Amino acid sequence: MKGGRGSLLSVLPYALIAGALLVIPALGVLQLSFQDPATAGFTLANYARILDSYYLSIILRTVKLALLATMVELAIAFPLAYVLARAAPGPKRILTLCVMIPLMTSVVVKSLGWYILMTDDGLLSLVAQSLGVHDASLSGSTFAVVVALVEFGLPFMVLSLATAIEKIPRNLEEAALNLHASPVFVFWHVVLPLSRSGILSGFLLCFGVSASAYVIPAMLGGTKVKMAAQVVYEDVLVAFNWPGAAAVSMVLLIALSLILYISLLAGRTKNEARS
Amino acid sequence: MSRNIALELKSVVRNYGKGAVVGPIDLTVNKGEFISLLGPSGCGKTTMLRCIAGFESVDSGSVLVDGIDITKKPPHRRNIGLVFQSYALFPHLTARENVRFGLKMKNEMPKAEADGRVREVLKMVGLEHLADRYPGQLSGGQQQRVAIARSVVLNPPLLLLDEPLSNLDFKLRVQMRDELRSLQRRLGTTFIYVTHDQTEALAMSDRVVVLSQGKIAQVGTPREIYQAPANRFVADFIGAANLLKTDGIEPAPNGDVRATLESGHQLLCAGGVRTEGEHRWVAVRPESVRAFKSETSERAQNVFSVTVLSSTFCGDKFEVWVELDSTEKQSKPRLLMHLPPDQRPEHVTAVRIDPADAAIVGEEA
Amino acid sequence: MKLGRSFLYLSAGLTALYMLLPVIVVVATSFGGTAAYEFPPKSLSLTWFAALFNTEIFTTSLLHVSLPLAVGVAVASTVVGLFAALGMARLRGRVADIVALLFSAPLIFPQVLLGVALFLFYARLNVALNIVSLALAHILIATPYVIRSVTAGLSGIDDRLAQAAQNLGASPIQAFCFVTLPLLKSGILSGAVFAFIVSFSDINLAIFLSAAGNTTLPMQIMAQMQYVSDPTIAAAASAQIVVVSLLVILAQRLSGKVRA
Repeated sequence: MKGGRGSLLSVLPYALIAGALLVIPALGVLQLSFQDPATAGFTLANYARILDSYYLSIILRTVKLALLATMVELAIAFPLAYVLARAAPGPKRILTLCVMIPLMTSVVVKSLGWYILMTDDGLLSLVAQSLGVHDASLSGSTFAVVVALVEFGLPFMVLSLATAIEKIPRNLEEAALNLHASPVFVFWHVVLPLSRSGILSGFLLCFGVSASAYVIPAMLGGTKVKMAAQVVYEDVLVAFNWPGAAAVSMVLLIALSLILYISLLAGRTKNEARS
Repeated sequence: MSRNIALELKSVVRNYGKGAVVGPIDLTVNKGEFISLLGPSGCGKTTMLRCIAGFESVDSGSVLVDGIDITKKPPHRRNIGLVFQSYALFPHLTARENVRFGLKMKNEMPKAEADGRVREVLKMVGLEHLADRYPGQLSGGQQQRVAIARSVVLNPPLLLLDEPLSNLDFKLRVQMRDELRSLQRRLGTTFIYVTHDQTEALAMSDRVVVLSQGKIAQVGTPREIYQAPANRFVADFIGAANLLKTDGIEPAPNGDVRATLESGHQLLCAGGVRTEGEHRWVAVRPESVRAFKSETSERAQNVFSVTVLSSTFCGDKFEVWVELDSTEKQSKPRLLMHLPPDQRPEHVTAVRIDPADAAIVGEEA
Repeated sequence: MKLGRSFLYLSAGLTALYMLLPVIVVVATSFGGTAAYEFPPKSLSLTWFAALFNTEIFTTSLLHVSLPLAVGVAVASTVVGLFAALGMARLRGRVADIVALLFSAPLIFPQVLLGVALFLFYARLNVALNIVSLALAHILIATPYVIRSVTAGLSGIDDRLAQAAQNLGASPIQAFCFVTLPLLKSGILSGAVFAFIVSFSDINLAIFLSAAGNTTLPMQIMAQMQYVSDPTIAAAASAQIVVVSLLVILAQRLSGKVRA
C-alpha cells in the first residue's frame, strides 16, 4: 500500500551494488578519459586521438555494421515474432525455447559455430565457392561478422516484437479481415503500426548490443574488420593506454545514448501526432 | 447494557481525497443480529466494512466491539471475521488448510482439537468430502463456503461479509441466502452483511441500514424500510415507488394530511409525514394502486380517472403505466400500478389509492 | 490465403533455424570422427567428449570456476533481487522511478564497457582480480533478471490474500511468510535460474576481470579457439550449450506453473 522506510531498506542492497559497481566506475571512466596518460593532468588529447582516421574509420564501421545488422534483424524477425505471439500454448512454449536457448547461450559458443562454418573448409565457404563467389575466404570478412551479429541480435528482436504483438488484440486483425482487408494489408496497416513500441525497443536493444560487440568481430573479423569494442580492449589490455580506452568508451556510450534519446523522441512525437 | 451490544460506531468519519467523505456514522448493532448495509455502489458501505475490519483507518470517531475500543488496533489483532467478495482463498492451500489457517496463527489449540474443530466446521458448511481439494478445483459456491468456514472456525463475535453472493448465479444465490441465514441463527454470531441487492437485504436481515453518499439514510427492520421509508431516497431505492411531487400540504381530519400535486390533483394521505422540509413527495407503492370500477356506489377517497399508457406482462402480474387525467395541459402525473394477471389492462379507466398506503416523504435528512 | 500462411510459417521457420544454426553446428561438430572441425560430420564419435573430460584446462574451468561461480552468483542475486523487487513493489512516485531506472541500467549498459569500467575501477582501488571480484560483477548484471521474475510473480498475487491472512490473525510478517512467499516460489526460482545462466554464459565481463587462476569456461573456449582447431573445443562448447538449454527448459517449467 504505502512505500515506507521498509521498502527503501529493502532496495538498499542492490542500490548500493548498482551505485558502487556501475555508477561510480562509469564516472571513473568519464574522469579518466580527460586524463593525460603521462602526466595525469587534464587533457582533451584522448578525444582528439579518436579523430585520427584509424579510429574514426573503426567507429564509422561499427555504426554502419550495427545499423545494417539491426535493420536485417528487423526485417527477418517479424514473421517468427508474429507466429510466436499468436501461437497456441503448446507450440508457443517450443518456439519460446527456440528463441531463449540461442539468447542465453554464450556468444563464444555461437562464434565457434560460425567459425566452423566459415573456415576455408567450412560449409558456408564451400557453398560460396560453388556459387562462384570470389575466392577470398569468408573468415575475416565483413560478411562473416554481419551474419554472426544478425544471429546474435535476432533473439532480442524477436522477443521485443513478440511482446508488442501480443498486446495487439487479436480481434483487431479479425475485424480488418472481416472488412475485406487482405492479410498483407492487415499486416502493413494494423500489425506494423501497433507494434511500434516493440520495433523501437528492439531496435535500440539490438543496435546497442551490436555496436558494443567484442567477441564476434574478434573471433570472426580477422584483422580487417575491427569494431569499437576491440579498440577499447586493445587500449586496456595491450597498449595499457587506459585514458585512451576511456575516451573511446565514452564516445561509444554517448553515441548510443544519443541514438536512444533520438529514437525515444521520435517515438513520442509520433504518439502525440496520433492523439 | 453493553453486554448486548456487539458493535458500536460513534461518529465514524473516513475521508477520501477530493472532498468525498463517509460519515459521520453512528450505529449500534446488537448481539446476534443480522444487519445489512444496503446502498448503491459508491455509497460507502464497503468503506465502512473495511474500517470495522481495520484495513482502512478512521479519521475521527471510534469503533467499539464488545465495548472495547478497537479503533487503533491493527487488523490482525481484531477478532472480527471477514468474508471477502472474491473469497480470497489461499490458492496454495487445500480447503482444509485454508480453514485451519486462523487456528494456526493463533496457535492456542492443541493440534487434535484444532483438527476436530476444522472438521466440524467443514461439516457445517457441507464440504467435508471436498476438504482436500485446492480452491482452483472448487466451484464458486464451494469456494464461498470455504471462505465462510475459514472465518467461522475462529468463533469471532462479529462476522463481516462483503457482498459474498454477488459472484454466484441467481439460483445459487437464492439457495445460499437461506443457508447463510440459518447458519447465522445456528451460530448466534452477529453478522454484518454488505450488499447492493435490496431483495437480499430485506429477506435476510433483522435490521437494514440504508446508506446513501456516505451517510445513513435510514435504519430499521425490513418491514419498516419497505413500508415506511423515511425519505425520498429510501422510498425510491427500496422497491419500486411512485413519487409524486407535491405543491402544498394541509392538515386533514383524523390526523391525516391532504397533499396537492402540481397538476392540481389532491390526495388524502394517512400513511404519515416522514420528514419535514421544503420539497416533498407522496410515496405510493405500485401494488397499492388498484384498478377502480365506478359501478359501486360507495364514495371512496383518492379515486382518479386515468388513461393507460403501456403495460407489461410479468407472469404473476401486469405492470401498467397510467396517466392521471387532468384538465391542465402539462404535468399529468404518471403512476406505475400492478394488475392481477386475469384482468385486462385496456379496461382500466380509474384507479384508487387507499389513504393508508400514501405517505409524505421529504429529502434525505 | 493459404499461400500467405505457408509463407509466414516458412519464414518463421527459417528465422528460427538461423538462430539455432551455430548451436547446432557446434553440437554436431563435437560428435565428429575426424581431428579437425567437420560440419556436417561424416562419421560420429564420442572421442572428443572423452578428451574433454581428460583436458584439465576445460574441466577446471567448468567444474572449479564456472559452475561454482554461477551457483554463488545465483544465490546472491536471488537474495538481493528478492529484497529489491519486494521493496520496489511498495515504492511510489519519483523515488520509484529513480530506483527503477537505476535497477535497469545494468541491463542497458553495454557489457564490454561495463567490463572496462570495472577493470579500471578495481585497478584504481587496488582490488585483486579474483573470483570474488568477478562474482560481484556478475551479481550486478544478473540481479535484474531476478527482479523481473519476482516482480512478474508478485503481480500475479492478489493483495487481498495478505489482507485475508491478517484478518485471520497473521501479523504482516506472518502473512508474507505463509501466504506471499509460497506463492512467489516459482518466480524466485526461475529468477535464480536466469541469474545462474547469465553468470555461466558471460564473456564480456570475464575477458577483463578474469585472473590467471580463475578462467571461466567461455574464456577458455575463446582462448583455445584462437590457437587450435580441435573438436575438443567444440565438445566443451557443447557442454556449455547443454547446461544452458537444460536450465532454460527448467526456468520455463517454473514460470509456467502459475495458479490463479
